[in-house]
Amino acid sequence: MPTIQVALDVPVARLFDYDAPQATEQDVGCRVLVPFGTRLKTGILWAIATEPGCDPAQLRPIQALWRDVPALSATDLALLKFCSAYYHYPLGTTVLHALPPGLRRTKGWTPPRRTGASVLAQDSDNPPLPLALNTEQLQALRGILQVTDRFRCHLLHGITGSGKTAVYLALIQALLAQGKSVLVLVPEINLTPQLEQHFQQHLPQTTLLSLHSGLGEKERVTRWLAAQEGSARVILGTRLAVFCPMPQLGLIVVDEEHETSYKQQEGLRYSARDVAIMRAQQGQIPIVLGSATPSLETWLNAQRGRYHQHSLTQRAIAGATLPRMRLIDTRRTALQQSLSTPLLEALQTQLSQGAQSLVFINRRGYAPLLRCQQCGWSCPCTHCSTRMVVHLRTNQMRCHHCGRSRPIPVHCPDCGSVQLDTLGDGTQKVEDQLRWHFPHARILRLDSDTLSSPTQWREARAAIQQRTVDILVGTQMLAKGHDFPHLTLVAALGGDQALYSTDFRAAERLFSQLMQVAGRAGRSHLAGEVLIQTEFPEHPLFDFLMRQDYDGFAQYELNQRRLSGFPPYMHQAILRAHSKRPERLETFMAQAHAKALALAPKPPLTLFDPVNALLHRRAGDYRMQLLLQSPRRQNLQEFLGLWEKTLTASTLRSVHWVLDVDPVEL
Amino acid sequence: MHRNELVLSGLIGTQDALRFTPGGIPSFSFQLKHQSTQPEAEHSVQVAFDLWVLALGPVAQQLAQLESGSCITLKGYLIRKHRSSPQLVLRAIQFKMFDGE
Repeated sequence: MPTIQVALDVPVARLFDYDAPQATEQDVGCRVLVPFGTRLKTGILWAIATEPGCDPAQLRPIQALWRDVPALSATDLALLKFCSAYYHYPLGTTVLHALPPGLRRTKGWTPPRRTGASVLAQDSDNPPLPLALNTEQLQALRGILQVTDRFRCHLLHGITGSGKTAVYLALIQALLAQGKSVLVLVPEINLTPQLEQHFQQHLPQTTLLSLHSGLGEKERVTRWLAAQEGSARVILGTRLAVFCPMPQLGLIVVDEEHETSYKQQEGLRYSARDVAIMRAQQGQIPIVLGSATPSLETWLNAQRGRYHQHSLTQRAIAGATLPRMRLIDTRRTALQQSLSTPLLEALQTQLSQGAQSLVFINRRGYAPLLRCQQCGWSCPCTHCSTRMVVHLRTNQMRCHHCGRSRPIPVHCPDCGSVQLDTLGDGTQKVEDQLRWHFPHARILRLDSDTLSSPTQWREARAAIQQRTVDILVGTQMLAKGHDFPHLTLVAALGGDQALYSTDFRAAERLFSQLMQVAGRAGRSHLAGEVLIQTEFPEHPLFDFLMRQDYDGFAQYELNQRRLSGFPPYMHQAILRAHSKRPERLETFMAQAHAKALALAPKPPLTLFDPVNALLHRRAGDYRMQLLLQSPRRQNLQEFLGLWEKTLTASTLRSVHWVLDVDPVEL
Repeated sequence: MHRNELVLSGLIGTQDALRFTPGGIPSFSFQLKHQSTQPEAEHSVQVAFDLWVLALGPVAQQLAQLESGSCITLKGYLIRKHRSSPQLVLRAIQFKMFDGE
């Protein structure tokens, strides 16, 4: 049986046949080097063909069959096959992109001469730190451990600071004792060092590795292989880790499951949370989704009894309570630039008590807009349909969509006036205002401009822990999962901007973001306070927020979604296309629409017209999209399968397109 | 149609702080308190008004050093305060100090 089928990273939804006399069934899942056109490409041996698709004499022989690393197992391949089918993305591209880049090269794998110390980061001398669980935590733990030999999806809904991590750790200890491995997914790379250390202290006998895109190429492969060989028993990783092979996998944990960063926004647009659920189902193992503010999709599944819900309603540290919440109506309160008097007073009180505060504003840079006072020009990006953002510290105007930058203009290029001014607030401007109000305070700004490396994160965290900082100014980077025990005041500015959005998920996001950021306050013995400045105090979400009532908000918002026919009562997919040539893009979209109509979509499927994307132009590309939805997933999937084939057949040169299944933004 | 010149003297009234545009240009605005006697229909009339002045560039820095109450003569032109404002302000180009008589 000399013919093999190979999955290759090419934008064609099929496998390719090659001649490989040396291949056996054991080699399925191995990497092979094959000639493709005039070049060599690395692929995955997908199957040994019993019947060659064409004349065997015409088949080209493979160049190499690498057995240097273990083959992907049938389970791994099945998961990738599912992803390719569900997201309607070419199988070869799906498979190759699941591999770490170091295994995609057109050469064999050579292990690094020195194995990184981190691979064997066992700390077996120290005894494990004890876990003290309260009644609710124990209840959740027992509930989840009840059935571990088959698929079960659990929602661990615990308020901020309720000790979800301790439950994960106890679960991991239990599963490790059964000889199983555990995969833990976290939404952000910056959370991994903190968690890694925390986990290691509780699991000193276990090899625990983190897996994320910040690792060097060799290191990432080494860790991937450690998981595949079973020597690393706990993998802590960002969304890409969901594809990491783990033969003894006995449990998956998805922390902060509501985070949109689990959804990849380019190439294979997968949701790591959803893929993890599928993986658990295929492997017949339990999965735990944890959050203080679950996504409404997850919440509805729990309400319908498809997920098993466990609630943690108390803060884990005895005596720690949820923070007091206060809303400041910015239309009725005097503002000094962007800061209201009650907010300044609260900060002053904190300072005089030597307590730590966080000022949250979810926009980096100095100001979102530079505007000519005389003619209204506002520094558009030359390659995107958006405005450039003022970064005063570096004297730059920067586009947050394409990354282009230019010096801050002195004159308006339209009318010539030098009377340019900034509009709106970013972290830098708020930092300046705070320095002016509190010249003696130690202020630290934390956003992706000041925290570009792990070292900077480590230093910032140390400064916060050691209380050498009085006021933190930061973006949502600070809101996720961090534990700052000395922080007692959180002030949120300008969250309202989100409510101007056209996205139906805007309220859900703002609510969960503010709940999360509020959750940073008073996690320890000190009581916390949260101040929120808003222009829309009458918006119902603030009512629920003031009571920190997630259940109430979820019920209210689900009702809205049901009435307006939005997810989670509806399943959506978007055809997204982009091109440098707008006329071709329009032609393609019109054809795609016509083809969809020709397939006579069966109700209840709804097909919308092609429209320009919200950001019509990005980095020189024009972008359009077409939305489809159906209350029945199967109905949508069947249609996408048929439509995708006709789209593939009619691809126009210079137009790129992709299907985004279960999009998280419109 | 293209002429727009104004020469006006007065006392410096309310002053804003000296600021800088994001591009680094100094910007200073203040009220000029004007009082004079001017001819009107073969008689004379008492004139008194306050006019906002905005200076940009080096002249802004120089003006910002003057104390409130200083007597100056300004040369400049009229311009809208900003795009959507009906209010006119004097954009100062040059100034000269004099002793209040």
